[in-house]
Amino acid sequence: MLSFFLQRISRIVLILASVELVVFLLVHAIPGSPWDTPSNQLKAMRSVFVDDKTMERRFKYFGLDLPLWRQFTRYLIGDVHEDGDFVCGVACGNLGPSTRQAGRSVQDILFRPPKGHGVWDSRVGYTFRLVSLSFAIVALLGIPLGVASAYWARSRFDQTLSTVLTTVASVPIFILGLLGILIFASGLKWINVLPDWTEPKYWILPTILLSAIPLANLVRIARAAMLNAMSGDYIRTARAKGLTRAKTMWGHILPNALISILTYLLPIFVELLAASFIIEAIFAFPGFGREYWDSITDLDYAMIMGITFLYACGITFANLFLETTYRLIDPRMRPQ
Amino acid sequence: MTEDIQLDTFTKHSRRGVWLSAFVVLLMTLAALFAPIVSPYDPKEMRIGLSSYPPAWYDTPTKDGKPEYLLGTDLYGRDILSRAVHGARSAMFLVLIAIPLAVVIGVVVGIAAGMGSKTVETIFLRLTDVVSAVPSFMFAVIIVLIFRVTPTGRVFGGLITLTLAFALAGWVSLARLIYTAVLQVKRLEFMEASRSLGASTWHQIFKHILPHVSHLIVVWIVNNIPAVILLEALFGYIGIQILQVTDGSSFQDLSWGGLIFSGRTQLNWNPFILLVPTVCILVVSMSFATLGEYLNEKLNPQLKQNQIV
Repeated sequence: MLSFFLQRISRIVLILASVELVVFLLVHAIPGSPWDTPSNQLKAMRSVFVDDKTMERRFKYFGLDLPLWRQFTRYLIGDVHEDGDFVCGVACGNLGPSTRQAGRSVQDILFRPPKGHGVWDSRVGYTFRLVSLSFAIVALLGIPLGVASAYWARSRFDQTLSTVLTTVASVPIFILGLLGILIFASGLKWINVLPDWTEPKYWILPTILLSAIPLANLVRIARAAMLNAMSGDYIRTARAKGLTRAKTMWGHILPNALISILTYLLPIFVELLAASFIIEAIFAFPGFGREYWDSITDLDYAMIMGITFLYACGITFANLFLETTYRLIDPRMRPQ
Repeated sequence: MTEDIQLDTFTKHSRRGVWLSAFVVLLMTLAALFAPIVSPYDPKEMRIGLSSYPPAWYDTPTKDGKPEYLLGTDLYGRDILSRAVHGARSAMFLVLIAIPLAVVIGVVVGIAAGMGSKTVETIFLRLTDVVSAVPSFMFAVIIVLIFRVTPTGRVFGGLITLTLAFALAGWVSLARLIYTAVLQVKRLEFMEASRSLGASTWHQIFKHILPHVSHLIVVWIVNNIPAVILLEALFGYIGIQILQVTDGSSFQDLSWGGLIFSGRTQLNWNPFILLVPTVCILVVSMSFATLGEYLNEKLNPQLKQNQIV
């Protein structure tokens, strides 16, 4: 088990470093600098009024005057700054200074809540709340619905549910979000287009929209897993032995199906995390997805790379967790 | 891995739904082909004094809809119906150049990884590890930002930028699909027979592998057609212009994403600018999803044998 972990951790470190390298190269291939991007005319205008010396100081402060490879090692491992101190990089959890919000570091922006607020009001806190709320909805609704539609397979209930869910699942989340805003915010005026997210009612729409597509998928998976478990020979034996349908359901089918359903829950969490970027962009939700979209047009190198890094961390560690649970649950996965 | 759950086809697709989807696709193709004839006005023509009119049937406190402008006008007095019809044209064109590029890259890489040497396979697997750790739209955004100011990016009014973004970010999913399919096909007995008869790798690829993965390619194409249109719409909504020019040469002046771009700031007083392209994309993506599932049902040979219950 230990060697398995060591092997996986080293692979994760490699993946994360390559992700950072790829994103670093791509981001630096975008023409312009953080203070002079073609997409940000306001800042470009401001930079007209900043003299060359100040610009030079800025570039020096953020290390943008160094050769590219030095910038990368400075970001990843760390570098001796102009005042002679060694400042550690991503390796020690320092995601670097943000150019867009001068004076703050990326981890500060993402993790520290505003003054007088709890941890939940930080950027990451907001995203985490949104994603876990949706995840709870998906898990608590999806599994029972899937089980029920397998129990009453081919009934009217099953057919209606499947029609509704396939329809929902075929609408892309971005369009779902736009329609939601158009109907509930712009048309019916139940919520503001730009709410302050303090009241629970503002959370309803993004949470439901975020969970709609994963919910449809989970119901499908749960239904298929149940039907798969039902077709096993041991079920026929149990029924032949005289057990009732309900008893085989609770005692034999459900436990077997649940194992395969549970393995699909974690990928759903990852899926929700990716979709939250789009939902956050649509609703101007103050999580880290919006921070990403804000910083990408302003070429905030450290912020773009920091968010990508955190996201990749989330995915790779979720996969590690998944693989570990497989090995614990399923004896076939263990090394002989 | 735990046992694979074969998703059974949820419901038999009603014939009506499939026909309706085919009809929508046909309609879109016709609108794309005959856009200048069908649309009532020049979509780029701006009219002073005709700014932000609601649709013909809709009256606001300040302005009543005009029957000449069926779906209303945007901030600069451009006819929204004409813009939407021309949007179908841009979307079609985008699909026609972006999808083939992604398919070529995906199929070549997928087959090379499946049939090539161990090194090729390892490189491919490590690459997919890295790529799948980041959502593909993040790559797409950065690629757009890189190309949109270069001379190459200006070809076809910026369409080429979006094409590259889609192809470079989207080929991975197809390549992975093809790779796993190739591994499965390689194990089959007739492949062994063909190898023992001395068939060359090229012969195997063209005579055996490609026919066996072709249904995957078809389904992937149908499922990813809306994805291209969506990518453009997403950029329009977030406010990333594919080409930053104001002389009207950008293809986004005539696309659904561009319509979303001009409607997103006027959500409160004229939501119809945003509603029209949203409904267009909704109908198109639902049709392609239905067609994709129908084709999957028809073309996938494995689905027929292992159907549950």
